[in-house]
Amino acid sequence: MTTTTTKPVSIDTSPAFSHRCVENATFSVGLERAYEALFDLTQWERLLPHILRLEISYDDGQYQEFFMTVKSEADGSPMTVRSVRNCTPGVIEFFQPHPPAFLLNHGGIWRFTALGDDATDVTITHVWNLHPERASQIFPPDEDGSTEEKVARTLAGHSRITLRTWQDILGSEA
Amino acid sequence: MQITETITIDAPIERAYAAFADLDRWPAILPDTVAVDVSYFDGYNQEFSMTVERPGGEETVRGFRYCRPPLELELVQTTPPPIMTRMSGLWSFAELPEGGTEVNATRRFSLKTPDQGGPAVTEEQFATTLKTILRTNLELFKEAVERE
Repeated sequence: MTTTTTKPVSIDTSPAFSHRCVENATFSVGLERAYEALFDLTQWERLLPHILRLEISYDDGQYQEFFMTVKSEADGSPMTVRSVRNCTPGVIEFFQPHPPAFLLNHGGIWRFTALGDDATDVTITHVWNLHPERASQIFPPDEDGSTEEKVARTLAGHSRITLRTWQDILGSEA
Repeated sequence: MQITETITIDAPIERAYAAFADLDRWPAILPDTVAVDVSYFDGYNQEFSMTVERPGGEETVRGFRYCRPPLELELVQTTPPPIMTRMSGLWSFAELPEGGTEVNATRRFSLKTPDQGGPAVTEEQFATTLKTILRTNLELFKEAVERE
């Protein structure tokens, strides 16, 4: 018999990352549908207007690797990002091997909790490590905040937009 | 198809975990591992490729690992061995009350059919071969860690 009772860390509790932000929203569909919407990459190009193309390079039903092309916020040019995901019941963990220039590392986790038959709490946590030089060039510290604060606000804002977009899509199904 | 092998290593959990976690050490521990490349590691997520010597020649697999020290190393090979459609698994580590570490190795795999280039054996038959490889590797890790 073993003595270990501690739970393994997950990406949002790992000490590997210096920064994190958490946002959540309620989706007006059951947990199964909420999870399926985020899990099923084959529907994202159809449902999400900001996605120009999504290419799935690996999907075994749990682990996924895909390339998503979106319009760059900076100049509207196409930008392709590779993501790797680990999908287990109620949880989708993700990271980007090549994150945005201002980050050394970036990943996160979606958690889905049933609030009832037709409501699901969806929480997204982003975790990251800054690329100090590039982050301070792209998000220079000023009266609006430090580089760290500006990056956190940007990523939290992305989370809120993502959650709102999926709320609207799934809300129109209800 | 899923297989599991377990071994006890006479060493603290942190030292046992470290040997499995550090892929750069694998060629020195496992004689059939000829090359390893870690292309990404943030302390939790890892992308790697590994070339191993097999009876039919060298094979290179590629994949990702999730590093949760000192308890778990979860892995998926997004480019598995040529005869497989899927390979994933888990190394888990637990302290023993009498000292030492229990290391549990689990693998989930699916074989290609013979038409797809898979072996002319069932998954059950192949599982026996894979268990032998896993057992051998665990014993080599045990030797290496206990020798430290």
